[in-house]
Amino acid sequence: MANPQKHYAKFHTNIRLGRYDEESTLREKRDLLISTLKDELKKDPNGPQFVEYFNQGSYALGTGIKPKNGDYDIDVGVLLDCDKEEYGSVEIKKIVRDALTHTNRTVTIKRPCVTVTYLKNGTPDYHVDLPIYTEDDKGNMYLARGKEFSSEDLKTWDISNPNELINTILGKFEDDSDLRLQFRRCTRYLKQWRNEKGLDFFKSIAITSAVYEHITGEDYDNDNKVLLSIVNKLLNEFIHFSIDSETSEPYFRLVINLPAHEGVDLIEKLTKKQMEYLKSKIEDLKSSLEAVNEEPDTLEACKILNTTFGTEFPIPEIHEVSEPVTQTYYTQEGKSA
Amino acid sequence: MFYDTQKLEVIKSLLSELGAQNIHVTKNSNNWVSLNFDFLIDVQQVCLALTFENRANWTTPPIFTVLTRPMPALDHISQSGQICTTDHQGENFEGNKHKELISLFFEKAIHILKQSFDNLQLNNRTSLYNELEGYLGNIQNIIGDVILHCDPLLTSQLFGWLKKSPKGNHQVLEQIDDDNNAYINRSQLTKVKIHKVLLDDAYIFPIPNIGDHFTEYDFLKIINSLSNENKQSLLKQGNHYVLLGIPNEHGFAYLVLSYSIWYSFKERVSFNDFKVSLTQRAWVDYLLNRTGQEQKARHIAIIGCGALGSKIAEILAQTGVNQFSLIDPEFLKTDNIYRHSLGLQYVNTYKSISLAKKLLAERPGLIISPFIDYGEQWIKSKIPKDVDTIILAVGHTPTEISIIKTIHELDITIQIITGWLEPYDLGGHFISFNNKNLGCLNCLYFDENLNKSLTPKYKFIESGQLIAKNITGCAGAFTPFSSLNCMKLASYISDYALNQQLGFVSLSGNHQNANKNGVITTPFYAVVNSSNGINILSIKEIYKEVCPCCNT
Repeated sequence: MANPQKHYAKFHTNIRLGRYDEESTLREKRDLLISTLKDELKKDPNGPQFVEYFNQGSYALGTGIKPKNGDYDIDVGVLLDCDKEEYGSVEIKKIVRDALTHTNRTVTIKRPCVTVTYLKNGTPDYHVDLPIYTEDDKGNMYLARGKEFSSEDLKTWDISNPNELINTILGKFEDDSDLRLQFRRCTRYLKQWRNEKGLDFFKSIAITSAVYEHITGEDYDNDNKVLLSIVNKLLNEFIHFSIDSETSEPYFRLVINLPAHEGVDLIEKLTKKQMEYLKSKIEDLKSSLEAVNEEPDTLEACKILNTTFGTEFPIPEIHEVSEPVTQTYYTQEGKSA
Repeated sequence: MFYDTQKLEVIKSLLSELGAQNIHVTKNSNNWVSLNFDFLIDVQQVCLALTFENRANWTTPPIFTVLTRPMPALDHISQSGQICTTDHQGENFEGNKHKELISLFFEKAIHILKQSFDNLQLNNRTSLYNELEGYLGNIQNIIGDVILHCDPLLTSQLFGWLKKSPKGNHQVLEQIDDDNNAYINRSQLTKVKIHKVLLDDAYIFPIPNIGDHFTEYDFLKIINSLSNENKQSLLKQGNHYVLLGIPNEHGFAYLVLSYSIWYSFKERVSFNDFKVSLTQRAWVDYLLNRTGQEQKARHIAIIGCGALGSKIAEILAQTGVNQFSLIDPEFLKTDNIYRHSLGLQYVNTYKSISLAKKLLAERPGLIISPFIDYGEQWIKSKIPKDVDTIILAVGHTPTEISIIKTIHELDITIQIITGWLEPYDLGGHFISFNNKNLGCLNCLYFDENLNKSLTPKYKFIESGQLIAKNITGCAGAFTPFSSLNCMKLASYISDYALNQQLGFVSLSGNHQNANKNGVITTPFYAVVNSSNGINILSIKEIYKEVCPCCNT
């Protein structure tokens, strides 16, 4: 049986959001925006003031992949010191927008955040999403929701715990760094597969949550095996009976819960058609991963994976796979300090 | 004895040619020769002595001394009259060229004397006050140094610590601090208040003539120039301890005066036990300045306080790094004391705590926090946010890689250095990288075909050999590692930590011991050894894209 682990590793290198190049640019943008926001808000000592920022989303989880269209993004939660009774949720976002407006970027108010987009040759190159939060006396946090011209009932301060999701997910891997790394890799593989197969409705948060839910420390050095195990578990979860609202036909849905929030289905908006399409694609994926597992030739295995995940999965030269590897598990290294 | 009468005649005639008069030999012992002579400087006749070694090859240049008395204190002339003709920058000379050396140093001495007389004439005593501590240090009644633990200029209240003399009949002032100093063991000491007097004008301080003492009458002259409040306080009946600061171009010269005051008659002051001491400065800024360094606001954590970790800590503690965390859960055992910084007295104590205590006792101004923890546990639960460098000196690959994976999870940028020794004096390696860049220790554990490997790519001994020795039975099996290589590696690691350099460095040691024990070395050892014992690779060169540790 082939274990194309080192080719998975190269694939991972190819798709991961480069922590050291792309990410450092994003970090620089983040730091610049935060310091600008801080300074601008200080100009009105009676107005809302900056308290702190925190990373959110795939950046905080370390599960980012290179975007299809080259528009890199980072989510940065911003906590402001302001009374939600005094400031409306959109009013506060306008203050943030005005503070950050500058010629080299566009700043727009979206429903859950303020988005700062940096353009390159007229197309979005990077964007930073800034969800804006405030806190009450009891330490509860509220997210400012609503767009500038939303109806009043959509302009709300929603109670929210932005760090809870990150802490819950990373908490699972606190004592097993190898599993944490494998969780990141598998999440990225599935995101790339989603992009490759055009399953845009299968959102990143749902993929991340599914991997979080189903990954177990089976074999840290065999991503194919672990991925197959996750896929099998997902397929076994298409058991939630539902009736299509358009055709009134019964069918079985997959439910992916938000971690630590039983009952919050992250893919509840998927239609029957989308659900069935998703299932068929996951079944295809399962077949591919099984074929890889059974394939004795690593080169052939990589060809299958290249078809499954797209061209970013490398097909090695013959000499790269020809040498059999004897794995040892213990050695006396003879080092000391 | 090298100098006989004939040779001395040559020196006499040389001095005569240089303008000396009344030349006569005053000493011709086994070790030294002295000649006295008169010399006219402008209109002033001065009696001088020339002293030199009584052997063919001198290691000390000739010495010229002013003998005329009374003679006011002069720039660059010591209190014993010796003319300071060297510049304290190190020296080298041809020790057998006696005539040439005498001529050269004679000229230097006369030049200095002339300048000193001119300055005396002009009442320009700036140089003299600048070198006051050196001058006073030669005065016979100025005794041993009191250690000054804090800068008097920055400390409002000073306290002295008295120690009983060995005979127990009197107490001696040994240290001065702000009562807040960790380096003084107060248990056997008596605390006294120090009266701090910083003079506004150096000229208030009467510098004793060459050859004279500094007496209570000189001190009384100083007291008389002070405010009434100060006068009263310094002349109160009882024991007194005074820190006297005399300003100069570099700050202050400090003297410590201790005395008792008794009033035998009305208004008649009587000093008892008047003692004058010099000081030794022991506050961190001053001490670092002496090494050409400055205090660096760095926080370096050392995980593993064994032989390598302890030596790194010792080296870095003298470089200006101001803060350390030392992490090690184990006791020191006797087996290690011939390569560890801690010696026999620390056996069966926690390495981290004892190392912190030792460094705190030896180097003032450091902040050192010891932790009896495993590295990974410490990083997860206790790592302070300001740590900028973590040095791993654990010598155990699975532990190191596990710790590195944890550090890669931190949001802060941290330089990580992992070092380890090869057995049998063969040398050692270290890798310096950071958790926000590609390339890490784990990258070394892949072979050319990017397959995982349990032995690092760059090593000095071939795998599969039995290298452990056993001298005390099964439990005593060990692999010998040399202290010299440990020290060498520690120096390089410290340098990389200080300058935040990155790279993978291999240092080769001697292979004789390995050969003697039949240990087979690798071709890489030969490569390093033939490149002057050091091989440096960039992090880019060792990075492996399949590394799951840094490439996440």
